[in-house]
Amino acid sequence: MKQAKPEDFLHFTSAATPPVFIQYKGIWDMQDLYETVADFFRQKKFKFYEKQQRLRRPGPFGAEILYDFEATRKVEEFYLWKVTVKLETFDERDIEIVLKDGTKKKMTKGRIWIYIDGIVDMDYEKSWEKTAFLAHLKGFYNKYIVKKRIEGLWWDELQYKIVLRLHALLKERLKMASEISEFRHMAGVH
Amino acid sequence: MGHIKIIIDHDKIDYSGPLDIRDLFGVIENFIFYMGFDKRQDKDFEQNTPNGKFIEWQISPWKWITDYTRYIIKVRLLGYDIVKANAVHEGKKTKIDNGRVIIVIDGFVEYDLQSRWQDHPVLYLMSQLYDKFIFKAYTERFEQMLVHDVNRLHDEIEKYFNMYRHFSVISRQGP
Repeated sequence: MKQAKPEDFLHFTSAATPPVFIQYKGIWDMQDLYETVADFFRQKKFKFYEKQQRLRRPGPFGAEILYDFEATRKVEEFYLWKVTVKLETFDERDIEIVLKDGTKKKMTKGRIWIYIDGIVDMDYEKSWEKTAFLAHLKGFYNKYIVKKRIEGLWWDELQYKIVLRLHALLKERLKMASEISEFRHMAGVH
Repeated sequence: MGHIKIIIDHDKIDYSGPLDIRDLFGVIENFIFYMGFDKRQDKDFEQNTPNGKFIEWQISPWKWITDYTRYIIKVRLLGYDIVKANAVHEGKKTKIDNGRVIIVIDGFVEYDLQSRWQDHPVLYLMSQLYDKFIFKAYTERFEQMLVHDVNRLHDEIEKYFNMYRHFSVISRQGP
């Protein structure tokens, strides 16, 4: 007899948002960018972790710095949001610019690559996976009872209110041409 | 992933001249939002070059029509040598962008979203029979509605650029 695997009866254990990217070449304020990300997650009641900060100097053109962030928020007892943000700079070097009022400011010049993705993790404490019966129950619950809620509410809020909003915010801080986000008007459903 | 059918292949708009690039993004995103599509951002690249900005921006929003079918519209925008230029608008001096923009729109219909009809050759054959013969009227109607949506988007962009419009949307939106 074929043995059942957990994925045969555990359905919709997580729902991931499509990853979004930004690539920018020019001048930006790295400190401001960093604070924007941290502030955004603080305002949205996330726990914010800086998992890694890696500095490399592979050549004479500038440094490569990777910032690897992870933010989690236990929205309810049953599900949490987890957002991963990666900022990686290439050929980075500090420059001094003169603002309109004549003051000088240190900025960063180079290339930056930003990656954001999010995931809705159901039953994050795995309390429904202790026995086979509970796991079957969880599969049924996810597939038939809360499926529409996962797709239409929990995932939707993560996609539009967290991931795409942060994406638009970072574009605004970088003063990119595509900073406009029509989806900011999207209202929530409760 | 189900099987994807290309309905509109590379509908292209090429424009050189003055424009407001932020407004253009607004027009496209607003249309997508208004039509009830979910947004997926594939690319958002911007490079400051000596000749101006180079922009590559791509979205592929999707909309579920039924549990079995969804629309995907892929909009790719390439901006070359986008620079700021001075202009006079209603008697006031203002700054606008100037450059070349290429917009490519593709329209896809994705069938069998949950891949339930793809595990076995017989099931796949049956799904094809259903799509192409039994539910032919529905399939064609879905495709026609997607063509209508893409034509409207094309028309909105041409309207925004104030181009000579060789096409106006006369297709009727399906029920």
